[in-house]
Amino acid sequence: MTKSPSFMTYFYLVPTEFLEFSIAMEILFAIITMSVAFFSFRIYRISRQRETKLFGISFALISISYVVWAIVHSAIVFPSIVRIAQLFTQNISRLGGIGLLMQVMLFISGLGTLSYTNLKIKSGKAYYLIVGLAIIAIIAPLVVTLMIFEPVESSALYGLLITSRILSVFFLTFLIYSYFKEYSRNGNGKTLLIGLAFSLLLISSVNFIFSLTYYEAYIIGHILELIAYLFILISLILSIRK
Amino acid sequence: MNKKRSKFEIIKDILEVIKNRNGKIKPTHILYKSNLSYGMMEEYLNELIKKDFVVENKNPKGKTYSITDKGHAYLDQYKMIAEFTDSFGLG
Repeated sequence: MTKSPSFMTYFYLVPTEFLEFSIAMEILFAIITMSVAFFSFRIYRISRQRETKLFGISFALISISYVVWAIVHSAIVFPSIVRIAQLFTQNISRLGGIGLLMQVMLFISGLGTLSYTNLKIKSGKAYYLIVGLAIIAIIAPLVVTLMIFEPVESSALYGLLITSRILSVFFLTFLIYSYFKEYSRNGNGKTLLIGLAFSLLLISSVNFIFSLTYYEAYIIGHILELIAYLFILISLILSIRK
Repeated sequence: MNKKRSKFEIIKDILEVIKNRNGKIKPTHILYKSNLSYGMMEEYLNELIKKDFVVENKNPKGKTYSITDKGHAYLDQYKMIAEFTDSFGLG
C-alpha cells in the first residue's frame, strides 16, 4: 500500500508496521471513553449534578481526541483520506500537524477537566486557569518553534508530543492521588480499579516518551493503555448493572 | 460515628422525606427529618427547586414542598446514581 511520504514525516513515534494496530487501539479507546461519557451524561440527566456533567465532558473530550488520532493515522494507511483532504488544501503536512495538535489539546483538556472535577470546587476561574494554562503550555513552545523554523521542523512536533506527555503525567499523578485518597475514604473496589487504571495510563505516558528511540515502547504503551481503559470499563459496568 | 453523607445521599434523604409525606411537607419537618442545619436545608431545597425535583407551594399557612416526576425518577434510579458517583469519586 502506498503511503504519503510528506504526511509520514510528521509521524515520529508510530512504527509504520504498527499503524493498523494503533488505529484499532485508538478506535477501541474512543469507544470505551465515549461509553463512560454517555453514561455520565445519562446520570446527569437524572441527577442534574454538575460533577457528573463535567465527568462526561472530560471523557467525551478524551474520546474525541482518540477519534482525531485514529483519523490522522488512517490518513497514512489509506491514501484516499489524503486525497479527500487535498480537495480542501494542498498543504497536507500542515493538516497532519493540525490534527496532531487538535488531538493533544483535546486529550489534555479532558484530563484538565477531570482534574478540576476531582478538586470538587465550583469555580469557573479555577477551571479557566487549569485548562487555559495547560493549553498555553502546549501551544507556546510550538509557536516559538514555528517562528524560528519555516517550514515546520519535525522537532516542533517532537516538542509538542513531549510537552503533552509531561502534562499528561502531571494531571495523571494528581488523578491517581485523588482516586487512591477517595478509595481510602469509601473502600469501594471500583474506585481502586480506577486509581489503578490511571496508574497504568501514567506508566504508558512515561513509556511513550521512550518510543522516540525504542519502537517496542510504543506497543507496550498501547497495551498498558488498553488494560487501563478495560479497568475503567469494568468499573463502569459494575456500577450501572442492576 | 456515622459516615459523612455525600451530596447525593442528602438529596435522596430530602426527597424521601417529602415523598413519605404524600408529597407535601413543611420546611420544619424536612429540617427535622433530614438532619441538616437550617442554612444547609435551605441551600439544598433551593437547588432542588432549581433542578425541578421539588416545587414550593405557598399558602396562607406558610410554605410546603412537594416532589415532582423528576424527583421521583431520581429516587427510582438512586442506587445506580450512587454507585456510579461513588465509584468514580464524584460524590
